[in-house]
Amino acid sequence: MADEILKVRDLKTRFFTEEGQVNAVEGVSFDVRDGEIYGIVGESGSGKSVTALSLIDLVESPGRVTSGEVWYRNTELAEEFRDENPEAVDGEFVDVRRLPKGVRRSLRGPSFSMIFQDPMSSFNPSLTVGEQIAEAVEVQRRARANPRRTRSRTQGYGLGKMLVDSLVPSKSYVQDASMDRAVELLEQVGIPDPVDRADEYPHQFSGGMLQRAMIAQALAGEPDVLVADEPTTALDVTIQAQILNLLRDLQRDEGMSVVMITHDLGVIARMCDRVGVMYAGEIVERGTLEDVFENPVHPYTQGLLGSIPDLADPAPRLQPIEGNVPSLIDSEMGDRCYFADRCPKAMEDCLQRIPEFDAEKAGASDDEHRVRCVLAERQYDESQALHDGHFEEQEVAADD
Amino acid sequence: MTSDAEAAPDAAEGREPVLSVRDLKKYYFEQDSFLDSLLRRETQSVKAVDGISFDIQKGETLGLVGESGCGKSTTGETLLRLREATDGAIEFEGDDVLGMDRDELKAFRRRAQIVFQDPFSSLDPRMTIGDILVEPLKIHDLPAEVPSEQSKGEVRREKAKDYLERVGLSAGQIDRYPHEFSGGQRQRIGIARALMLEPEFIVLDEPVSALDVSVQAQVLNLLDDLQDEFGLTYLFIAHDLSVVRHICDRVAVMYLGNIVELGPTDDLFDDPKHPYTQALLDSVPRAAVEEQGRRVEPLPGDVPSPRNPPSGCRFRTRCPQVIPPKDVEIDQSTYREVMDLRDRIESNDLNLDTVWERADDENRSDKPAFKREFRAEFFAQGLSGENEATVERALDALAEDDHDRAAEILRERFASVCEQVRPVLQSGSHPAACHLYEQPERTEMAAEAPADD
Repeated sequence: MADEILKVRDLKTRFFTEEGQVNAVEGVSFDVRDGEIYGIVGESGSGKSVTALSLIDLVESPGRVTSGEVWYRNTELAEEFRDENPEAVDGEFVDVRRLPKGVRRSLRGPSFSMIFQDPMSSFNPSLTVGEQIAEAVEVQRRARANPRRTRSRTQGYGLGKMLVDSLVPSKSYVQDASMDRAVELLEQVGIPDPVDRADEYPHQFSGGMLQRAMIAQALAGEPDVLVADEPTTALDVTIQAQILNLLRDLQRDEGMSVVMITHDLGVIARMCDRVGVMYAGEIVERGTLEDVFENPVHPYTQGLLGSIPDLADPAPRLQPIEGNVPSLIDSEMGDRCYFADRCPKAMEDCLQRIPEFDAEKAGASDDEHRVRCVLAERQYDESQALHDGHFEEQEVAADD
Repeated sequence: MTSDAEAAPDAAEGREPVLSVRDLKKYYFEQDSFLDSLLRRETQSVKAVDGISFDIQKGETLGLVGESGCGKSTTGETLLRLREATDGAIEFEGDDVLGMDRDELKAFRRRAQIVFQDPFSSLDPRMTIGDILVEPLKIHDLPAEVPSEQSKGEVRREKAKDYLERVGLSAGQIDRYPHEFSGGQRQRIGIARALMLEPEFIVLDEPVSALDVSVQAQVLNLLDDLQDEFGLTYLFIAHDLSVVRHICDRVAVMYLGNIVELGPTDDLFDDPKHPYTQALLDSVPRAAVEEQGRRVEPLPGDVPSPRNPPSGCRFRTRCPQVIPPKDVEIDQSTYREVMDLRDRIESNDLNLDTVWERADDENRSDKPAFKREFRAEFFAQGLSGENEATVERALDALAEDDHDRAAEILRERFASVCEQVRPVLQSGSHPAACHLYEQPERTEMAAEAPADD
């Protein structure tokens, strides 16, 4: 069995907005193994993208990762910090969140890398695609030469820089060696005529090609873990098939681990070995693909699978989940199972905070099928069911 | 023009179509302004919809699927004359839609409505839900007569409340503003607005693609129920094939402004005829365990630009089953490679510098090395016989930088029926516009020049 490369424990990310504190990620735990594709699936607002950003420390104000641990296996870092910061080291693992800021930043690229949903808005329209990839290559090279200094030469702005740039146009923007590497990367991700295409601007690329270019950029640092946030959502199905094949090939050839975040259960099914289902900031069910797709325990997972029309077997009628995705504002969330108000099998016990159960047996390893629902432990009992309109009445009472 | 305007390709037996479209075209013109004409710039046409024909029967749901840019939304909007058609004919219950004057058009729009894709931008944020729903009635000055004890406004408001409940919202929400609703609820409001005029026909332009799956299922069920309740006819435009399979009675598949296949939903999904439909269906990831690790052979490349679409069959540049000439013996994958090479040469998209670089010859005189490198890049397997000789001659021309002659040499031997003749939909219930299936006699059709118009 492959070892874990990443162990996420009880991660919490909060956004402090004017409307109140938003609990976007609420105690998420999962493991990613060497060379696997781990899937996180959920609807919009379930916290899956914020989970991705939290992993690689890209959450921006007003958001903040407030607690939790991200254990990353890296013997070098473990050795380096064993004496200096013993709390942050556990065997071969280091807790990324307890490392100094500079070190955390230097991990972006060679350790973690990310691709985003919308390639059109992720590239700078005023630089060529080749330059932008070469820039990533240079940042990585600098980082390797001097791990504490990751700012690339190209990041400086100012009057002096502007004067120099206008006198000596962007020829000096990136070094030739980096540009050559960028062309190699473009070729690796299947872009025809990489030499010519490297000199083109993002608007000259189609959506699928640009997504390939973004993958090339993410590969520049040869990352251990690639976080892919909805990498094919903006693409047509035939292009999506190309990109999924590419990701799978790269993952196999480079031995990367991939965290695949998507709302599309079909993409999860094609790509992933193990999967976590997110709802309202929590992973409500996780396990292998078979566990989750064939024997779903959580009513939300069941509802999600029942809502999608199947291409091969059109059901006469879909079984949607009633209601809407809840607000994640702390003061409105209440101390109960967050799915209870939409759940067809809500019971009295669901008004308590629901812990994560092991669907098979208690005390098993993390490999097991885990569910955050009382139904993992016992059968649905109709006599304890909440009567219809329970939550509406509560709402009315709260308003008064 | 090659589409047959005579035979309805999808005539269902015995029923009168509600809507019948013949050879509809919608071109957008670029560089078409006064300034451009002063500067004598040539206008460029973008062929968004390029000659499509179909019928919609009463009470059915016709699906229109295709990838982005294939012209499906333009079709929907042109049908309702939200955009003016460039050419063709549209008949709605016997009336000529394209020939209608202002008053007729207003009457037509009472009977044909549209629901838009984006529930966030299609509702005016400054109007209450009540105002939004009542507005169509005001425009059409409905209802014509009201009971004496009620004012028109009251009747309209009652009706708005009634429809809010029918789409699954509560009448009490009538005075709220759009921002107070979620995406799914707004889409329900958009549907209620379309229903207020009691239309017979509704164009649903990607009505669920902005919604989450659990909410999407609610809206699909609602659309189903409303169709039963009001006897509506739908044109359902979507890119999600699973949704289309679920809700549609018949499906038309579009590619680059053309309908490539049309048929009853089950026939089309169980037995897709056109290579594009086959590839499209194969690409869809299914949410099932069997899907794990399935590797699809995706279509190569991207959709060509509608500014300059390929001659003949629009799909031929990516088709895995492009048809070689009868007298040429060549296996399919090699033929695909030859055709790709030809496309590159003919579209001036072939850069020989890199090949010369690899041949490591700066003077460009070492032709054998050039040809070796070229073959390594473009052909996975070797060619043989006459095919080999032809490619050899073409490469000689390329080595001398004579692209036109190379293109000519290759065209002479390898020209496919797919690039010469634009295939049309046959008659019958499940036609496919592809040369792999029976096509009308060639004499009926003018062979298309490589660059038409």
